[in-house]
Amino acid sequence: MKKFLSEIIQFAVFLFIFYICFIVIAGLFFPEFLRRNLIYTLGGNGFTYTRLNEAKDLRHVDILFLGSSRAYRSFDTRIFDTAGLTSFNLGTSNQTPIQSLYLLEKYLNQLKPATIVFEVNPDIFSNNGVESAIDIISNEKMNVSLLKMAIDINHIKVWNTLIYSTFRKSTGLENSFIEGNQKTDQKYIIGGYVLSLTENFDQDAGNSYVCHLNRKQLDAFEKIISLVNSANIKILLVQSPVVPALYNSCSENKNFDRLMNQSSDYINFNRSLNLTDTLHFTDGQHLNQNGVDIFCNEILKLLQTH
Amino acid sequence: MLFNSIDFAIFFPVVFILYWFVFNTNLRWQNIFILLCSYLFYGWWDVRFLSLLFLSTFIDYIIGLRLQNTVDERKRKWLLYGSIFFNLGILGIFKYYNFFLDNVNDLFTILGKPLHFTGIELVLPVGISFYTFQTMSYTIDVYKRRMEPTADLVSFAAYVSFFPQLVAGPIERARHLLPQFFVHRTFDYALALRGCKQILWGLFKKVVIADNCAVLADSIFNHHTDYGGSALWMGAFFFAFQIYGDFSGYSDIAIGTSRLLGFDLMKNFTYPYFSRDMAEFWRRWHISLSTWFRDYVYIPLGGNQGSSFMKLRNIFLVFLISGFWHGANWTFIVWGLLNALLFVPLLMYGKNRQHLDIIAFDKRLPSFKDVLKMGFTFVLVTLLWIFFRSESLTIAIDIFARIFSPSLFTIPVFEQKGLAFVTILLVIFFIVLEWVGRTQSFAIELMFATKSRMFRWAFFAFLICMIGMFMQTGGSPFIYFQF
Repeated sequence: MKKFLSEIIQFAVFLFIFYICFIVIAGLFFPEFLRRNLIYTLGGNGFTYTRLNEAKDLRHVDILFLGSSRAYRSFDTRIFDTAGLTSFNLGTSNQTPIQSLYLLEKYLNQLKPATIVFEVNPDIFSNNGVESAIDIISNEKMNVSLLKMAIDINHIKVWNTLIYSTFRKSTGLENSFIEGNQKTDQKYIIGGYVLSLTENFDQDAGNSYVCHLNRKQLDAFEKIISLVNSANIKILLVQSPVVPALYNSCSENKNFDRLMNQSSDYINFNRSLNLTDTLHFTDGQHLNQNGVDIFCNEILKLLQTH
Repeated sequence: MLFNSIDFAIFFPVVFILYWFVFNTNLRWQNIFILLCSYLFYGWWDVRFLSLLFLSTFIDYIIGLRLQNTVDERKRKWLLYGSIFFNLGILGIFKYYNFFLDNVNDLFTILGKPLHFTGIELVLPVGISFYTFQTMSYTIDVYKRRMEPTADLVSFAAYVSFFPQLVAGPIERARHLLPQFFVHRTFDYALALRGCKQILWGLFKKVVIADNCAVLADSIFNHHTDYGGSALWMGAFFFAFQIYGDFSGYSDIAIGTSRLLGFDLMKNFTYPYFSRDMAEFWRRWHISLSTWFRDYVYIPLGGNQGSSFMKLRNIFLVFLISGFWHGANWTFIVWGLLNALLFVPLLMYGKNRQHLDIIAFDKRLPSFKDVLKMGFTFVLVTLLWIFFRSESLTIAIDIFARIFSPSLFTIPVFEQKGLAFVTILLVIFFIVLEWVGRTQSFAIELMFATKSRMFRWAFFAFLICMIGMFMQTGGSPFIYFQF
């Protein structure tokens, strides 16, 4: 038995080193189709790299926006600026509460927002958080909190990305990377907002949800609420509008509204704002600039009454 | 608890350590501990179904003892019938009741006197087809005086519920597994090492080969009307490797896990896709079930003795029951009968035992003739899998009609071509390893055994890297859990 356990431990050490080398070699040399569970998205969708770089040097804002693309494509920081409120949009692609918690723990003390506007929806609470974790790990400097997030999600793709990203960052392979501020039909605006350049409504993109609230996301959400409350910061939970067909495809809407109402001030704009698919949306779940203007002005009114 | 889950990855090392370091003091404690772990493992799915397991265990335990103490042959027979009636009864209620009712309804509708029997909503207890067959083998063997019954309830209960093979086999014979519970297990380094290798190989088969093939097979079979003949053939090809990787992978993990606990389970697969005819295929596929039917159905019916009619009847009955064992659906019954049809000519011409050896035993590559035979057998088996995979006979027949049409000779068009390409590469890699290791009980058992330790470790680490890079992350349960 002693010999067996000793061999197992030695093999585990050997495997650890071998696996890291394999992931690094795969990331560097394998064609994309041969690295199925290794996804590295530096400068991927949503301008996360640029946004996190901008956040690094930022100090104190009135409003901090959090959430998925429905946050960074809906909360136009310029509109809040004109109303005299400094703001920053820390939304990232497919951001789930697990990533929101990570970002808050990292940036809350630095940004010291007076109010947090957190975009919440049942779709994102049903997500396993893998895509967003990969996005953040690929675009963020390595730190222990990222490891904590990887443990929390515990998914092979996240682990592989963490290994490869750590290698690239620690060897300086990304030092010369510069992300442009415009990609196809999206443009990054200083302050974290992403402007949609298209006015056309894409009917086929995002027309149904699979809603099944994820326990891990609910736990992370509870931690966010208690973290924000302990820092005496106001938090406003907002569900941004989506096209009615998409909204109604979710079976958890009532349950979700009840949960959010129990947690903090919460407004579901799918119930209070009447928008038209072709006039106010670019696709099923993202507003166009007309929609963004209406939505942000509603948020402004709310904040002023708060 | 799935073998390929985090739950099991925590459960088993804890069991292993406690088993060898805490409960190793004597045989009784070892068996009690295995029994408790097995009940925990089974109760993880649905604790309610433990009661069925208790009942099945207890009834066969009592009947076994009564059989020993009863001299009157008539009474002994009734005791045996009692066990069979009980075991097949619970199997019938949970697995076949609604199927039977639906067919009675359909029959009377056809006869113009519709009946409206309504079925009952029952969840099929995981592994019920496996452990009921295992307990029946005990009672039948005791009845036939092939073995003595045991008075040790703990050992018997541990034999029935032994967690590595409880939910999907191998279906162990009491004569083989039960005596192992009567001997104090001591740690065997070589056996444990083989166990680790076999678990690794099983995991590779399941999460890399089977799960990737499953995505493709599902997307094609679930929308079969969207595809032409060549794409449907690809779907059947992927399903052939899905079911093989899935089920033989499960068996490998079960056998490997048992080895780590000091047990030896029977082989369940020996490279079935290298078979040169259907008879050889059935000697290599799901061996524990095939031999169960041989020992407890085919031979008692008369086997290959008697008139041609009797031989035919026996073969068809065994394949029919085997098909029906897999599930309450006509597709399984037809699958069984078609297998019988392909088997019968070999039996009738006395060619069912012409390939008892290992293919190309002392050669690196098979002869051209063997390649043709293997290819032909694989095509037949794969075509029959269509019945196994389809949800209804109508769908299966439609898929056949589409495959045997001019569209078979077109370039297959289906979604996820990138995944299909990678999966084909993985399947080729898998076939090569299986071919190289075909003389071993599992492909990587002695692979690179003569090379240095570092080389062997690099190979095993490489397999783990392949799992890390290509495993399907959605995760899917083992196909045979539903049976």
